[in-house]
Amino acid sequence: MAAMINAKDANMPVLTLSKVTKTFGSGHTEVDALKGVDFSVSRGEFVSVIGPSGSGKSTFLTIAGGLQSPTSGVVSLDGADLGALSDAKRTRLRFEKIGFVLQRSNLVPYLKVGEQFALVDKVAKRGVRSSNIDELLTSLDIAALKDKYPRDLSGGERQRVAIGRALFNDPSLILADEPTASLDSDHAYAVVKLLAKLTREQGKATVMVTHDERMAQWSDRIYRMEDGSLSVK
Amino acid sequence: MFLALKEMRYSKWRYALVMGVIFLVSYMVFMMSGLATGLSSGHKKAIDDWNASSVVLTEDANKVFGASQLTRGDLDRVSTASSSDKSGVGLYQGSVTKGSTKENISLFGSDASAFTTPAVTQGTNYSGKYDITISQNLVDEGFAIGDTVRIGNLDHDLTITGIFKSTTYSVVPVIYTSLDTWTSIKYGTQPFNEDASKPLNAVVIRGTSGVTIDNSTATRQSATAERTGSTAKLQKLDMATFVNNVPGVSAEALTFNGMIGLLVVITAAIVGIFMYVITLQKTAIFGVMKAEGVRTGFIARSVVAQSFVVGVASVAIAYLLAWLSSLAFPAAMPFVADLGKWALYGVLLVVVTVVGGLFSVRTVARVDPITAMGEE
Ligand SMILES: Nc1ncnc2c1ncn2[C@@H]1O[C@H](COP(=O)(O)OP(=O)(O)OP(=O)(O)O)[C@@H](O)[C@H]1O
Ligand SMILES: [Mg+2]
Repeated sequence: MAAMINAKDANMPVLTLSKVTKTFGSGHTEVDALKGVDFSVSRGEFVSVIGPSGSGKSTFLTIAGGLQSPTSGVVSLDGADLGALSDAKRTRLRFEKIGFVLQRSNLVPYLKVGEQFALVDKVAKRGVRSSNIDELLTSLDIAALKDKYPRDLSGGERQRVAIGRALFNDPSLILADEPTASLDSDHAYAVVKLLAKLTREQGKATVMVTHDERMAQWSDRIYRMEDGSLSVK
Repeated sequence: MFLALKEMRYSKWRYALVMGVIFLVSYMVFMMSGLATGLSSGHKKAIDDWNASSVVLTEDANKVFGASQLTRGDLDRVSTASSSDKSGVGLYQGSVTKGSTKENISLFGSDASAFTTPAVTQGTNYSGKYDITISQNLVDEGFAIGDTVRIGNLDHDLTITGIFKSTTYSVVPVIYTSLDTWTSIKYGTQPFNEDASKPLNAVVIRGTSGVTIDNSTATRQSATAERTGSTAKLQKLDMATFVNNVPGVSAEALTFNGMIGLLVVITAAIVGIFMYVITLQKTAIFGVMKAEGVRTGFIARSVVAQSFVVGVASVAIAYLLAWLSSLAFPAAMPFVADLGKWALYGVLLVVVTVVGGLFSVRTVARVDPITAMGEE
């Protein structure tokens, strides 16, 4: 019985978008950034979205992450309809269920690496779980960086810390927006490989947006965004 | 608090700067308050020394001590619980001369046994017709027990028999003598028909129970000094009102309070502007935090906590240093460290820094988490 529920959980999509559209402006300045997007990602899946600039990738990711509402369509995360939630509930859901890895480093400049993680515990109103932090830092091979400020890290190290922090709260979904944009290709590969590996090991659902097709090679599926329409490549 | 303190550690100099400015402003507030208290005390300390509860003047004096002219007979029109709870007091402002030394003084006439007469710390109280006692700060000017001096219209040597603790009135040292001697010093050899018509400036009262004033015989309304008969309309003033009407006191208080108020407003503005600028510089990371699900309240609290920490730390240091400075000031400086009042100003300054920080909360609330995504 228990095994059945687990099996069912494993196949249930973490994130689904159905018939999602997004229109900016109105009248002759109207832009259809998303035109009926259907999408879903399940646990343990690493999915890439590629597409040219201005095609709607960032718009797609912000809607998936509940940072803005679609003009029409339904977004659901772990079975909860984002559109039906209050702002406060959506904020809470983001905190508990989504880990972000952003193009621009999303580390707080005035916190040391270890404290970046402690902040998550503080926001969650629980005691700082030092042993968890150390464990995670060690597993990502960045334990030596614990007492450094982000400004003293290389771009690759910074993204590794960012990935660590995205995972720290044990989210269901990881949204990565051009996580390798600021890295040279060697470091970029390393970061994407790490993200793919952790996704599978920890059973996360990861969506990575990139315009570098080479980065998509470790994905389970590759989507192409073209002028607001999403299709499997 | 977590974010607040970590950021202050990271941007030490930036926060040290704002703390330095608040420190200076608070230090100035404490100094001004000390000077205000010191100067006002210089104007009226001798009156505070009475520990009185109220003072009776003639109504036409318009609450001004020196302008009030009543008679010893008027003492009977003031009743108190015990007759020792009232004291007729005369004031003379002039100078005391000893050889070539001349000092400005305020001289009070008061019965040797009355509560208004200060206890001597050296020597003996005045008893003879030409005895006086002087305040300690006059000793510092070269006067001593046994010296003979001249004051006012009295064509006779006066002898210093005792010294009481330092005090001032109208910012000059104080001398006490008997009512009769005071009368001769102030009015010379003018004849008075009877003791009851001899002048007084005020009746000073201690205690509050059973105090009444009989104005039934009062006929005199104008300030024309008519020193026969008890006819002036009397008026009882509480000490705060009386002291406020001591020349110089209220005007000075107004000036100083105005300056202190201005400094408090300046503090609010400094903190407000500073926290606002810092907050603006952090909107990007605030956007990221909000995207990650950090509540606006959490971020806003850290901004307010920062202004609180900045305020408490700089005001506390200013308080301590102002107090230490006051210990180093020369005794002659009109400065009184009223620590209770300073604490009050200190709390006000901290409140004001927090209010300054609150201005930035709106900015924090307005940051849209969507700014976290995409390129800058
Ligand atoms: N807030 C907005 N208001 C108006 N138009 C917008 C807004 N956000 C995005 N757009 C428009 O929507 C379209 C899709 O933008 P989006 O940022 O999603 O593209 P993208 O695929 O992320 O591009 P890039 O690769 O350059 O990041 C663009 O035409 C853009 O101008
Ligand atoms: Mg984009």
